[in-house]
Amino acid sequence: MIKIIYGLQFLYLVYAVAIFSSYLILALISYFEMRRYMTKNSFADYKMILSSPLAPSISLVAPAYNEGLTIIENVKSLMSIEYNNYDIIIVNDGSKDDSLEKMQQAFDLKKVDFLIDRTLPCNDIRAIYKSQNRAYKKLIVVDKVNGGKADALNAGINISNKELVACIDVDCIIQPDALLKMVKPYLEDRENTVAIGGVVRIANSCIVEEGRLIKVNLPESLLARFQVLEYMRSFLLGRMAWSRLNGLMLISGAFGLFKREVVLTVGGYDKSTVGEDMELVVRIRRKLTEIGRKAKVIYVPDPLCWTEAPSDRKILGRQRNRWMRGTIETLSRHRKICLNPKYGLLGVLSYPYWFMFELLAPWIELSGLLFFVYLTLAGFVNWSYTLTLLLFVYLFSIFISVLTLLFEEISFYRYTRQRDFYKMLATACLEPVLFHPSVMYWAIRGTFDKWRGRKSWGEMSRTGFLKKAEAK
Amino acid sequence: MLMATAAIGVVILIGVLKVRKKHRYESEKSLLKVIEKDLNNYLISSTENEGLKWKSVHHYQLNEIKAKLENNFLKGIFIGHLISLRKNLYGEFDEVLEDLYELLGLHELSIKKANSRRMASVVRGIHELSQFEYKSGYHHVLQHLGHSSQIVRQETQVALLNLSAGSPLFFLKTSWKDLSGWHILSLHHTLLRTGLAHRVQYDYWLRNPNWEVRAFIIDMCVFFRLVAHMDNIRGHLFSDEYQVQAAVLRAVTEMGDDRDAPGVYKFLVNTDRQDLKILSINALAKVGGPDEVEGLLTLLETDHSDTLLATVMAIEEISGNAEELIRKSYDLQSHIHLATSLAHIKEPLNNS
Repeated sequence: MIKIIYGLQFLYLVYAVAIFSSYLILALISYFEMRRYMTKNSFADYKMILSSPLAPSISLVAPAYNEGLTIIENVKSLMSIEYNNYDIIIVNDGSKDDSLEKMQQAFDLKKVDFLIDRTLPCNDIRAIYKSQNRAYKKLIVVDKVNGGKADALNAGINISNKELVACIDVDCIIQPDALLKMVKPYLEDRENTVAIGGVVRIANSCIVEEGRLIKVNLPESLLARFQVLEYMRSFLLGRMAWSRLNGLMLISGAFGLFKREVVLTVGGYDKSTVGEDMELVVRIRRKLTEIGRKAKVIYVPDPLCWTEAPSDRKILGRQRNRWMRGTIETLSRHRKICLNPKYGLLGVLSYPYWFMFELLAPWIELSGLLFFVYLTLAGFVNWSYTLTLLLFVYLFSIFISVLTLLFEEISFYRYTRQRDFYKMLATACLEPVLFHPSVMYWAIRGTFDKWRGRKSWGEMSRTGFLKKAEAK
Repeated sequence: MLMATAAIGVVILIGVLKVRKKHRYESEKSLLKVIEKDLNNYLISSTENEGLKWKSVHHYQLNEIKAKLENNFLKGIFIGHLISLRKNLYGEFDEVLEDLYELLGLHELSIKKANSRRMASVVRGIHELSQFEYKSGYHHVLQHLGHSSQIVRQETQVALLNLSAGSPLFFLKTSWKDLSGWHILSLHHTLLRTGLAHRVQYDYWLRNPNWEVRAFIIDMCVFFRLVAHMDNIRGHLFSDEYQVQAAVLRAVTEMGDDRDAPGVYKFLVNTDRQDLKILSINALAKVGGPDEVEGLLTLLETDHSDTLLATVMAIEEISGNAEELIRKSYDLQSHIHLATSLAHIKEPLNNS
């Protein structure tokens, strides 16, 4: 019995050392990549792209489902993006509210005949509208039968005839220079770059006017602040490093830029998964490798997109549940990649990392907890050793979070008030105790739901952005 | 203990960085506050007439500014301010800022940076010398042409164009591998801004063995509408590299004439690449005639919607009566895509 206990303890230790080392290595790679990015772009004149004939054409594809409350403001915000050669495709995914009517009225829309490429599978398109007002000539509105986000994105990509498609959430706030910054890495390697992702930041408590971010504030609610820290860690520490290694497996569904030809080649978004954003990136990489093409997926660390994070535990739980189900679906569909050197770093490093430290982590944590309870009940616990270990784990989590704050400080530095820094420090200290167990619980629930065959997205409600008048 | 120390260490580091940032911000604010008036007066007086009185005022203001730039830190801040000012000022002020940069001896700091061991400093130094077109700094920039970092090499090339000594683009002989889309965009922008486009020896570069250079030069000919080089460009249509072929097709679309039509049509029917097909069709739309329309009508069976739309548009652009011609050859009831493609001709709202 003692041997089994020691054996298990050793396994947990190996796992902990592996996960901690991987975080440290990723942080180190991120640091160098960040420095390189900052040096490279410190003098980049992005405005050159505006007047250049070399600028690739882009379609912004934004699915909208029951967004009637904010749709006009959101579309107007997309129209003020700094880019010349682009159009906006709003896909009304069978909304039950008055989204379409509002857009028809606000933008003077007229039904038009339109050649639709049916390469990607999508539900029936009822009509396509364009504005009669030249001021809105960039706008195309697609009205289709409801089929979900992936289906709507496929419809939009079918309609587009541009070189790149930017798939976005219509309720996100896109920074005006976002496309300029996203296009630069594409221009640097037009041949091999297939997808570009940008940082998504939390906009809770930020002041938003006419779809534009006026002032960046740290969220007032602790739950949203936990997510701020989590997003920062994920984007600044994780994805930056994976981008450097060309092992990125995920581009956030809120804002991603793809080469349209490549999306068509691999068959577009998969409607049968709730993690369509991750699944598409993995499929692109997999299929292109299989046909002998290079596929570079790049990540831009500038904060380009702001989104409202769930400020309610219940809704956050649904979101995390869905993320976990999406991860399971993607990893299981593409299990062929795992440890397969044919797929390069994606196969031998990225996939195993996701499997071990994203998919299995909650289960290993749970089993560790149960094991600890057993040891306590059986009187096998060496308390001084256990407490030292727990303290180490706790301090390591704080260290990683503080490292993220350092990266934020040396890079994009959005929360400028002194007290914001103290608040974030406090958040970093509280997160392992108050937030992490919930994340673990939601992930486990997600896994159970996946086994039970749950496919739904779960109702996601938002409270809306803060306006200047409300902030006063 | 180790983790706690490390975390506290990082927190202290963040604190130090915050203090440094704050110090820089405060210094910048206070420097600009005390120097702004002198700078404005200097800029305005420099555009006034050149009498003795103005010259002495000018000299006085220059010394006032110089006295306030006590150390390299403040000079660095001031250079940054001048660069951003230069982006917003044009014409005469542009030259005044260049002179001011030199008269204040700021170029010495930039040269020091350009000769530094730190890559970030080198890039900054080169950029500053380039921005103020400090021609005497040419050799300090040139030494970095073979730098191990692509970031430095590309900044060097743009700077060499700005400093414009010798033949523009001479660096392509050795640095053709750096020609990424972004870099081409920067070079194009610099050529446009400096007005050096006419000094490039296009015919010479079109004979370059590297296809990257040839494709780049053809694109430059298109951007600057150098029709005189078309005879030389069209010979590259059947080159081995598709990037060169694409550049030639773009050139034909923008600057070609009916002599190009047979060659482009021949290329169209022989190429397997869909993107080149579309480029060929777009080119034919501009240079094609009735013979090409006949050929284009046969392409309407395609399943590729972008190709279909481009073909319909090309037929319309050449003949002006695409609908009639297409109806003669196809039953639109059974070719629904053709019908909707035709709608794009009639519906001006669709031509965004």
